[in-house]
Amino acid sequence: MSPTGAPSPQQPAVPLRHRPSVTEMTEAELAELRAAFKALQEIDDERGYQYQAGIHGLPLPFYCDQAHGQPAFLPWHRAYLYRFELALRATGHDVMLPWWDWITVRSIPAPYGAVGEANPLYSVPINALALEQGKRGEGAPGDTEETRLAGKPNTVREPGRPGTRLPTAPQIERVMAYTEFASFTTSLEDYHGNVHMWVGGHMGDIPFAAYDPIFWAHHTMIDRLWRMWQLRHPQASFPENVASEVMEPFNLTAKDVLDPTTLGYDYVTTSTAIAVEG
Amino acid sequence: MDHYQARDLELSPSTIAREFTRADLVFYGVDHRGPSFEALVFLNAPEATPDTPLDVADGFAGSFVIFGHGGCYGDVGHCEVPSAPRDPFDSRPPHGLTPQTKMVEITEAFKHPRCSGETLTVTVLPVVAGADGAKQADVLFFTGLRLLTYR
Repeated sequence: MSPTGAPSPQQPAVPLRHRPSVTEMTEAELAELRAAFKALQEIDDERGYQYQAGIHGLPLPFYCDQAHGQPAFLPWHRAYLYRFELALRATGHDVMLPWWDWITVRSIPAPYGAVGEANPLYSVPINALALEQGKRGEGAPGDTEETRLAGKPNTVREPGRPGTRLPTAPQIERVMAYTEFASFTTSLEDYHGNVHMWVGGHMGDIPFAAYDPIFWAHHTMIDRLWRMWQLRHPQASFPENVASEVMEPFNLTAKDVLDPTTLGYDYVTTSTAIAVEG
Repeated sequence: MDHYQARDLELSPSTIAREFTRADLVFYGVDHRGPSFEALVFLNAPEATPDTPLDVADGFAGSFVIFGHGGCYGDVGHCEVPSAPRDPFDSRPPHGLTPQTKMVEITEAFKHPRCSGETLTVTVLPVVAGADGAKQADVLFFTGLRLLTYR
């Protein structure tokens, strides 16, 4: 992997930032992440959490319709994470999005649980317009007025409901072994859907999924798997017709996001700052 | 539908001889307007239920997941996918609810001894989470299915 990224020919290479595993973060790093999410959730305009989460689903329009069941699934979500991460960092907190490795961590990671009274990584209020529009939907089979997600003002989860399952290591290894992009993205997207359904609650529903903070850790894991696949199969081509597709509303083409180092980040397992004397 | 089954599909000679390195089932025109669900695919297991073990030995071949739209949230016509031919100067993305194509690789299950005959039965069970386990739901709609093999 490259230690630096070159944003453009006009700018010098700069040190890359690294997205961490949530299970490898220190308490200080987790505190900074919580502070960033809390600050973003307190901003009530297009820089804030509600706007960012709403891009995926409600309020209308559903920008992610371009991304699900389509070849743009991976680049669209990479652009989405990139913009969300910039919004997080704009709060003044030096954070990067962590990934939840659901292959080895078979439960909701502890930092995203109910820690204390108001953990900003646990549950988030959903804005009134999204809820109002959500009431026009049909809900899940067997839903009642009480169980409908659109009737719940804060995000909820139902992890591990019977009939749902997390992808296993052999399943993901088979996905990573595909040598062409179409099979890789199609299969990975299906397993991504398994995780949404396993978390349940708002995460299992496109209109509200991105309001749950675990959404970002899940999709960072998906983005990481894509990055690992790109490194494992450097000869694999990306569909030309998709490369020029604009990822709305991010004003980035798929080609713009193929290499995460041009966006200033990469993935590592651990990253430890070591003091330099002198 | 809450259950799909194609019984006793005739296979081509090379497929009967299992002269392939990979086999896929491709579902065309899959509707994703409704709730999220998983479609479990079984081969030569016509009696499969949501409780059937998800093992190749029991006929399980794979699955696909629809991360569903959850219904229509717009005004009248908002969720109607245009059926008219597309204007050649229309550079907008396709309608968001344009049906999807889903691929399930079935190589391992198709080469299993339980699939060694000259015909194949494909069973698809769409399931959602329930209080006691996966339960079938009337959420699966698609317009075409094709078995593809590759040497």
